[in-house]
Amino acid sequence: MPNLRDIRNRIGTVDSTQQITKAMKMVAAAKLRKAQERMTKTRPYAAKIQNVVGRLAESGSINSPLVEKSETNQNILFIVVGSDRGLCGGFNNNLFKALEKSLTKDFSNQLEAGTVSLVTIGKKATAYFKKRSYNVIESFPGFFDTIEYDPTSAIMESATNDFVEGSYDEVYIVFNEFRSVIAQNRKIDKVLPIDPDSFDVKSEGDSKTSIDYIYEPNSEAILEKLLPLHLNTQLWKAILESNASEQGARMSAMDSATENAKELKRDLKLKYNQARQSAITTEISEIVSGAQALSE
Amino acid sequence: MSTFIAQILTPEGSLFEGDVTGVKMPGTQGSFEVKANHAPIVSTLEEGEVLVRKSEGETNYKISGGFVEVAENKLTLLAESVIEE
Repeated sequence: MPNLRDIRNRIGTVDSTQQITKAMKMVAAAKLRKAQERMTKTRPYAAKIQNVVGRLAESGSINSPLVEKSETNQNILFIVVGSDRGLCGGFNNNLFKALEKSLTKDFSNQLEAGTVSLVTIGKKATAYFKKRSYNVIESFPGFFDTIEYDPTSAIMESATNDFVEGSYDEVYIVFNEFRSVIAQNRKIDKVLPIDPDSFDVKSEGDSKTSIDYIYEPNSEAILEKLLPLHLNTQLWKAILESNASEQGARMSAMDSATENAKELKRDLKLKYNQARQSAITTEISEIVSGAQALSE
Repeated sequence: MSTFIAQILTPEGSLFEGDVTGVKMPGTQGSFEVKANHAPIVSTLEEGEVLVRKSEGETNYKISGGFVEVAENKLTLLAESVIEE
């Protein structure tokens, strides 16, 4: 029979754990709302860039080093967006596993040749890939303390420069896409070279595409300026999506932790009462048999 | 004075949206100003100052470069960093 006091202590422990997980859930919910707001705020900007680039791409072929495919496709760069903090379920691990799976499946040659490079954003991504001796060329732990646009665009710009110089043949962004509070899509998106067909021209209705624009100085110069902006926006979007997904994942992880604690507490209470009851029964039968022995 | 709608967008959100009488911008080929009923144009912008003229008063912004689109009496200015002065 378990000791009554032991069970009482355990109930106390489970109770305080439950309070912590409940509080964490609330905090994650509040952060999720903020993260979703930021995601919505960036949408008009991203949509406009897409729209203008799409229109330019439609009116003539894009002539930029950023769309040029290389024949060898040997040097690959992955920008992995993880999180800084844990306790968010399988948020990080699932993404990293998905990347490793894709690496062994689609990029086995490059992996063997050691031409796969990683840029890791967030403490968890950095720790995971450094520990497994991947070629992490740059890491940004603590990125999510203050999510800002400037460092984001700096990362993308340096990747873009390396791509133009020929250090990389392809650049991918690996991140969790926000689908809903409880669901994330693991994404491995190719951002460089840019696929000209990826622009959705009709996103703002057909009426605008027929307008005859004056391009100043000319459409090529505009594209040259716009494409890097477009790339920066893509990484920015990935980071905001990942941030919202992280909060969502943490929220649901903490929710189920709270539920589990509740269940555990119920079981322990049941056990406690059983133990208490049997203790009382033993005591009574001791007294009764004691009294019986006296009266005989 | 006739007005038109202007919007300043950054990756972090919309900074300004409203009726204006004119917007002066640092274009790649020199500074220029857009008034109401301007012809449709897409132009790149350099680092510099943007002056937004409203019916009453005007506001100055510092931008890091970007681009602007004008169509159907609506101006959309996009820049990676915009600071109101």
